[in-house]
Amino acid sequence: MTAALTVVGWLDLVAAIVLAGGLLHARLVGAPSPAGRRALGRAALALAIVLPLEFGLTALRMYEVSGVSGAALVWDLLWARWGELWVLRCLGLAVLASSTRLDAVLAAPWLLLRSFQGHAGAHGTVPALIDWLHLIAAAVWIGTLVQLALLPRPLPAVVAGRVRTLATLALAVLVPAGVYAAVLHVQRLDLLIRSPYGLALLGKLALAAVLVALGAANHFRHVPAMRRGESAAPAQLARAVGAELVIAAAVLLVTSVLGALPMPHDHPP
Amino acid sequence: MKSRLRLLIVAGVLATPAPARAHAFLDHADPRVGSTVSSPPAALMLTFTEPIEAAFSHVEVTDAAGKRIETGPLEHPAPATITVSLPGLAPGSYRVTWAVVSVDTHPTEGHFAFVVKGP
Repeated sequence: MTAALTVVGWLDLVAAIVLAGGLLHARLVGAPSPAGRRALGRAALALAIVLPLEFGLTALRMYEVSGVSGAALVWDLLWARWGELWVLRCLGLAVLASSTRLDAVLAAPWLLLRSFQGHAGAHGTVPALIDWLHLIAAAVWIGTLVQLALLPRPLPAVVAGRVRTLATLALAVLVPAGVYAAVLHVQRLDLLIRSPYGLALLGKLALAAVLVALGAANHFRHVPAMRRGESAAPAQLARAVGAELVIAAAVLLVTSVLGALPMPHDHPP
Repeated sequence: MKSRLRLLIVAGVLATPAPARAHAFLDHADPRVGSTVSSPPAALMLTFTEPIEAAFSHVEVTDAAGKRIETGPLEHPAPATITVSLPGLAPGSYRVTWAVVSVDTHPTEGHFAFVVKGP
């Protein structure tokens, strides 16, 4: 059950980031390509499948834990905090998928609902808000990379330059918000290697370091080379972006695993 | 400049994260975990490290012979606290078994014992 919820949570996270990040890209960088628009539609469709699946799996887990079943189970879960946020996420998805002018404005607040649903939200408002900043920054970074990867070749230098600026700003938010979450959840350094949560966090940090290195190559080498008009640079950037997206998918998978694991702690009384 | 520095320090202190577990673990109980009480408690109160969903949580009390004690309905007076009323307990040892779900839907469970002292 935990494994199924982790996989579904990963699909939820990837689709939410592609959708919200893509909508923010459309507002901050430029109109998506036809392939980019199709990616947004597919992300919305994936969420329309994954969200009910997540509700069903969570209901099953609540049944296993409490024995509550039938209509009472559905009703109680809908009225639980997680369920209320789930309903709001579904309604928000309907608005985001409707391609109204509101979609880019609502994309960021819509991600807040996810932050309140998870570990950070269980701990309080400030951790949830900081988790939200982390999530928005990830969505901006990864969502714009997805849109960049789906542009017709050769990649335009102007768009690459805007994505470079956005990715840099996103990193400036991602890192402090991530450090806050790490300190919040792992209070002592030894717990990093003595707990499944700590080990998964180390794995995420290692993957994130590779991601940052690839981003740095784009920032300092490929995009400036494109601006200088070097003919090989667009293809080099496209390859680096593809590699970044693969690593980003792995980072999001580890993030979903972290969402399912208990925080490391001393034995409770 | 000094006032800006003060503001930064205050912001830093406010933003310093307190320990978080997300999965709800027992923080304290009344009667206390492993305690001996001189008179039968009227109620059992459990407080957890995180807010919980009462609809999916439950508490069971059994005596030394493993016989289930009939408690009152589970109440949820605070986000991280649940209580059940107890009948007049005879002297002896009791085991409390709890299973709760935190607000992010992660289940946890545990147990502890307490003793009601004889006259």
